[in-house]
Amino acid sequence: MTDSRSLLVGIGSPHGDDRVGWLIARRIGELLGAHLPVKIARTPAELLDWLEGIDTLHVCDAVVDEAAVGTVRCWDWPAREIECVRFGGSHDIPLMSALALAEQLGRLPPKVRIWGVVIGETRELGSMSSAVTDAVAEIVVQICGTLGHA
Amino acid sequence: MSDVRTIRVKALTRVEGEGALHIRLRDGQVDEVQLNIYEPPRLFEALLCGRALEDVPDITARICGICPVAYQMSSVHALEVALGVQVSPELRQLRRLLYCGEWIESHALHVHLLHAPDFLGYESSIALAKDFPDEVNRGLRLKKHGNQLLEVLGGRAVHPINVAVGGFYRLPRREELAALIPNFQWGLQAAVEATRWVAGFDFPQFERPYDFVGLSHSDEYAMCEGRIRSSDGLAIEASQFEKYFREQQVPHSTALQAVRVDTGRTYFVGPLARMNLNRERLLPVARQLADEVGLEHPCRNPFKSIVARCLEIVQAYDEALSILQDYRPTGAARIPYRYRRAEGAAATEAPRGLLVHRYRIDENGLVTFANIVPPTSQNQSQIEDDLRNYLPTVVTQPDEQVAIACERLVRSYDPCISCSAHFLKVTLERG
Repeated sequence: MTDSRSLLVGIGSPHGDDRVGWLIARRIGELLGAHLPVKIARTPAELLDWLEGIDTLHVCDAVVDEAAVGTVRCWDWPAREIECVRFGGSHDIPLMSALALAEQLGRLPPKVRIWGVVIGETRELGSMSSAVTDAVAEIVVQICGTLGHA
Repeated sequence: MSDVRTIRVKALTRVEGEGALHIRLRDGQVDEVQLNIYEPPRLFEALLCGRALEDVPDITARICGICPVAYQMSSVHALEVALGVQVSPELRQLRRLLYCGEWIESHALHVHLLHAPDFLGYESSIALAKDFPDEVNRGLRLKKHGNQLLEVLGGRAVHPINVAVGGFYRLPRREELAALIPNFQWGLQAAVEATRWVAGFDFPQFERPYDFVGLSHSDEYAMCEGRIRSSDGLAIEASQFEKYFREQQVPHSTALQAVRVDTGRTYFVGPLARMNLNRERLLPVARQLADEVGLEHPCRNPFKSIVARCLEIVQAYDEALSILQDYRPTGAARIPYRYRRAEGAAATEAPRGLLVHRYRIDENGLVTFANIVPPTSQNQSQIEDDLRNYLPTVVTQPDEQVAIACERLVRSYDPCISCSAHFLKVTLERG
C-alpha cells in the first residue's frame, strides 16, 4: 500500500526529550520508506510549505501536560481539547497556530492526526529519557497500524 | 498612601522565545518597567571552549532556528580574522546570498504573521488570514523563498550545514541557483507590494532621540562586513566593540543587557537602525521605494520598523536576484588556512541587528575563548527605556489595553528571546 498523498512531519530539536518528534519520523521513514514520506521540522511553520497535494497529514511533537512522561497522545483535527495542550519548545508559530492558519488559508489536508508524547525536562543537547524512548516504539507501532503496515 | 497599579502581560505572543513584562505605576506615574527574560542561560560560549574551530559555525547556528545564518556568518568571519584568511570575492558573494535568504525568511515571517496583526486590529495571524488571505499567503510564499535559498546554498532551511571556516563545504551548481530565479523575480515585486501595504498602516505617534547602531560599509548596504557606526558619530572596528559597549547583568533577566560605555545610554539595533545609517546605500529599487512610501530619514518611530523591515526584504530580493543571475561556480569552495594562536572579532547584521562574535584560538585549532553578543540583548534595555517613555501616552487606558499597547511596542523590535538567553509575560502594577 502506498500512501503517496500522506505525509508525516516530526517536529523537534536536538535537545533531550524534545527530539521525540524527529525520532518517530526517522523510525517511520526507515520502516515504511516511500509508503509514507516523512519530513523533519524544527519549527511548526515549516509544515506550511509541505501541504500542497497532501490528503493525510500526521504530525508528531512533544507535549507538556500533567500526565506521566512518555504518555502517548493522539488527536484528530479539529479537536477542542488540543487547544489546552502545550506542545514542546517555543517555536516561532506554535503548532496549533500553524495548523489553524493552514486551515484558514484552505491549505490544511482533509485528515490531520496529531501524535504527542508527554516529555519531561529538556536540557541543551541532553539525552532522551527512557520513558520517552519507550514511547517512540509504541507510537511507531500505532502509526504503522493506522496505515495497515503493522 | 500611594496608589499602585500593576499590569502583567502573562504571555507576550508573537515573539520568538519566552519572557515576561512587568509594569508598575505609582500615583499614575511609571515606577518600574522590567522586561523579564527567564529562559535559562544557554552557555554556548562555554560549550565552544575546547572544541575545534571548525565546529563553531555549526554549533553557533543552533542558537537560533530563525537566524542561524547570522550566527554562522559572524563566527566564521571572526575565526577567519584570527586565522588571517581572506575569502575570494566569489565566496563573499555567496555568503551575502545566503544572508539574503535569512533576511527574507525572517523578515517575511515577522512582517506578515507576527507584526501586521498589531496594526490592523487582529489578535493573531489566523484572524488576519480570514480578512487578508492574499497578504498572508504572500508572506508565507516570501518566507518559503528564503527557506529555499537556505536549503540550496546552506544544505537545509533551518540550521544550515554548508558554511565552513574559509568558505563553504560545497559550492552550489549553477543550475541549482538558477532554478530559484523565477521565484525571486516574483518575490521582488511582491516585496515591493508588501512595503506599500505596511507603509499605509496607522502608526502610533511616538518618537525618541535614539542612538542607532549598526554596520556601515562604503560600497554596499552593510550585511556581512563594515565598521560599527552609531548615529552620534562613533565609528569602530568589531574588535573594539567591547571597549565602547558594555554588557551588564540585571536581576530580572537571564539575558545580559547592553549600553554604551561612554554615555551609559541605551542604543537601538536592527532594521530601522540600519535604514537610518545606510539608506543611501540601498539598491535603487529599495531606495526609490523608501522615498515613495515616505519613510522619514532618519525615522525615529520604532513602530515604523515594519517599513524598514519590508524595505530590507526588497533589498535582499534585489541583491539575491543579481547574484543568482550572475553566478558561475569558479575557484575553490574553501580557502586553506594554518592553525595559529590568535584572536579575532567580527560583526554582521542579523535580521534583528548587530551580532558580534569574538574568539581566541590556539595553535591546535581549538577555541580557548568565545564571546557572543546577540542583537536582542543589545535592544533589551532600549525596549525598557521605550516603554517608560511610551507608557504615559497610554496609561489612562484600561489595563488590558495598556498591556496590548506595550506588547505592540515590544514586537516592533522583533525580539528573539531564545537568542538572548523563549512567551513573554507582562505584569502592570498601578499605584
